[in-house]
Amino acid sequence: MPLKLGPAGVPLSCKGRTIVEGMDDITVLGLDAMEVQTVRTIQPQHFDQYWQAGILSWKSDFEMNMHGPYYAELLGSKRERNRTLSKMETSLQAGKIINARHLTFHVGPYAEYEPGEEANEQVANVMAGVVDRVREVWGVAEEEEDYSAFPWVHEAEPSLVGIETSGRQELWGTVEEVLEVCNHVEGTVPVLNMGHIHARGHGGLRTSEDYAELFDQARKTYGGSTFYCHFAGVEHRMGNALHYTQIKKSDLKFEPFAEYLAEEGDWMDITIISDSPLLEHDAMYMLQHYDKARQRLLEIRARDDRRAKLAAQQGIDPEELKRREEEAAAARKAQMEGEEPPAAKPAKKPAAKPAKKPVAKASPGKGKGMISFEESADEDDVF
Amino acid sequence: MIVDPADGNGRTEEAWGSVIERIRQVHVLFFQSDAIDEISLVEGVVARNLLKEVRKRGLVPIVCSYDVSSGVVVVEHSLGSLEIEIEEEVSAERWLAEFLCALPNTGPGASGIEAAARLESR
Repeated sequence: MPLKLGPAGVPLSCKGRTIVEGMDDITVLGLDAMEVQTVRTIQPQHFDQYWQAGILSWKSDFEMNMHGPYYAELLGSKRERNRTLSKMETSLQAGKIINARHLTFHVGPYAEYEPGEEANEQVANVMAGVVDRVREVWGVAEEEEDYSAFPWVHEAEPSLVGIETSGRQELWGTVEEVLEVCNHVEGTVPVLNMGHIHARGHGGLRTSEDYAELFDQARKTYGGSTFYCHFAGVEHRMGNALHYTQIKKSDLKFEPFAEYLAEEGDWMDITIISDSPLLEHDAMYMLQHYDKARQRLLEIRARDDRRAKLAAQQGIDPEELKRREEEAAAARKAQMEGEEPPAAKPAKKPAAKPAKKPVAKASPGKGKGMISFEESADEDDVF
Repeated sequence: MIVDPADGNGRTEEAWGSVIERIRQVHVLFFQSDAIDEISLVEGVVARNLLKEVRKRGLVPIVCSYDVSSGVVVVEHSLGSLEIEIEEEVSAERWLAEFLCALPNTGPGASGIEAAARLESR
């Protein structure tokens, strides 16, 4: 499964301030994507920087993305909509120069629209126009001379227009709305901001099954397999996001998402951007949890395979062999703790408890060469 | 993060763009009162709604401003908003410094933010 992870902006720990320096730092951290935040105007010095970043991303396997304006009023009056579109135009231009794979846009408040078909149609119309404009800005490969500085124009597809879910009730952008519009407008992709979805769903993303349900819904409605996600901790109340926090301080955990991606995410082409206050730190935290989840899954599969082979050799049921192994493990554990061996205990009891232990022990823990994040509360943390 | 009006013509938009780039990482955003009008123009919102809009759209936990001439403090935060008047005359930087120092003691709740904004812990 292609999974790319990265921060939303130049890493906080980056000594340089340019995008290219940020890309270097991100690569060193083992991440492979970045989302450049809203630009207002492209000054000549910006152009140079963006173009360098575009070339670097084109030559390497680094994914660049761009986030459009935070102030969007696409459902507002004509004046408000045009003002938003002019800001978006800057992002489109910059997106081409930087070789952005995704351009993320907010829609903004419902304004005079009621949530429903009419509002969705209006968003779909505007977004169809944005997609056309992206293609227009991207240019055509036949105009060779004009685009020799941008090799991606010839070989890569134009940027996908991402429509982001919103974290407040008064803003357009429930999962259903975003998926419906993306389903109707070719060239768009849903931007699933997990913090927003969690907040708007009153803290609904808790288990890997919740993520499975979300992506199943996306698969059924939108049909595509390309996803672009934002992930950060979030404080929420009454179905509204209050503010972002680091992942560890939030009730939105990354572990269930990592578990889902490792177990069932093979069909997806997914990019996850950390827009947490701890940008790259939380991006690495996510990467570590994803690696852990994958390793745990591989271990479970390897153990099941081995058990199936052994059971076939011994001519017994694999379940029976599993029970025996669990009993033996429990006996070993009891012996190490200086307790009575569980042989005297009822057969079922010890089997239930230690069943999980070996998995936890076998997981890639601290001191195995991986960077580890302490799970205990960090009192000095300013967030 | 402190938002001060930029020197030189036409640089406000660029300077505000730099703030926007980091908006998700900002915990307390303070506007100098004379920067509000310029940025409202850039964003196309009514000046008196700017702080609220920035808080809502940027999800910044605390967005505040202090007008030295009138002594009015406006704080938009995750749990609501407040507008109070400070009787004592202090500079904007002084108010911000004391507000920031007081916050850890008064707590992040609405009453804590108000107490810190009123400089009650002096």
